[in-house]
Amino acid sequence: MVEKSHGESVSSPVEDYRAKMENRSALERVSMLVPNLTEETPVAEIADDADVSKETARKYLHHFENWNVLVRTGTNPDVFVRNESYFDWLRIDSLRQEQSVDELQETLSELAAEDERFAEELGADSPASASMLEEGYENAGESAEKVRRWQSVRDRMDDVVAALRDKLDLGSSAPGSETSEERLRISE
Amino acid sequence: MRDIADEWRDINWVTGVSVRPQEKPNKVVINLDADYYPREVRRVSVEFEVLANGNFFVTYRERWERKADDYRCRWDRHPNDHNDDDHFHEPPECETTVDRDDFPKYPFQMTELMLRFVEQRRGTAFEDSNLD
Repeated sequence: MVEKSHGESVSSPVEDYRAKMENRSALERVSMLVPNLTEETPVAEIADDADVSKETARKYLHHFENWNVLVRTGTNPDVFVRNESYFDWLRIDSLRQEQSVDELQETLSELAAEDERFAEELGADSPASASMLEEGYENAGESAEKVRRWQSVRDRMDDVVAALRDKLDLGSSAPGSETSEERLRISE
Repeated sequence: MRDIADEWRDINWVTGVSVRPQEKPNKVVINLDADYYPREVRRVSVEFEVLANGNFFVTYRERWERKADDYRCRWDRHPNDHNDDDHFHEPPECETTVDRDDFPKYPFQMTELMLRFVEQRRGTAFEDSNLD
């Protein structure tokens, strides 16, 4: 058996991981990439990244397209991008399944507290109006990071509100004023 | 996030994976078995935070018996004025950063790089521990 406290005799997590990777099916390899296709990507590139043949990649990508997980934006060569509205729905739906109304409300108040802390710290009403140069040029990078984290707190709040609405049967009207495209732009 | 969690599940040394735990709702937190480390190390964890646009932050953290010995570092990808998008906040305190160009294309592919780091770091942790 593995002797834990001594250096050399421990089985390696890296080797363990590589073995796991090699056992992966073509479908698994392609599926892993799908949520990461935030930019339009040609099928050859996806096949390459997933380490499967182009034909195999195309076959599975078309399945994901049929299920509205991906959108095909070009043909010859085929180009795919993830369907943002599907992923928006997915996040909200998992919240709805994982948390009760009480838990969602608690999550929301925690996020609201975090939101308030960012507002105070960055002296702004929203991430979009926060100045990156508030703390001088040397700290611009750090401020930008804070602004991005703040934006991701706001995005998460939108999701939680939408999940709450669904659960309380208030209808799922648009949770926030920003489209996901705007959100993405702000967080870049 | 779930894909990253799945990557780490069932790997040697991993004792627990939680997706969006209550206290860190934006993250995947992976706990590693501290038994593989020097006695003074109480807790080892890796945390992933991935934003919608593919930017990410991966933090490696060791909690030592004496707080002064704590060790952490972070791999980041995000646009940045002081250096490249991909950069590494050096241990032991994340204070300085260095540009890197060896990051993989997708966040979930960080796993292998992290595991390689963990193995190396474990060796240095024993050296650090012997210095005391």
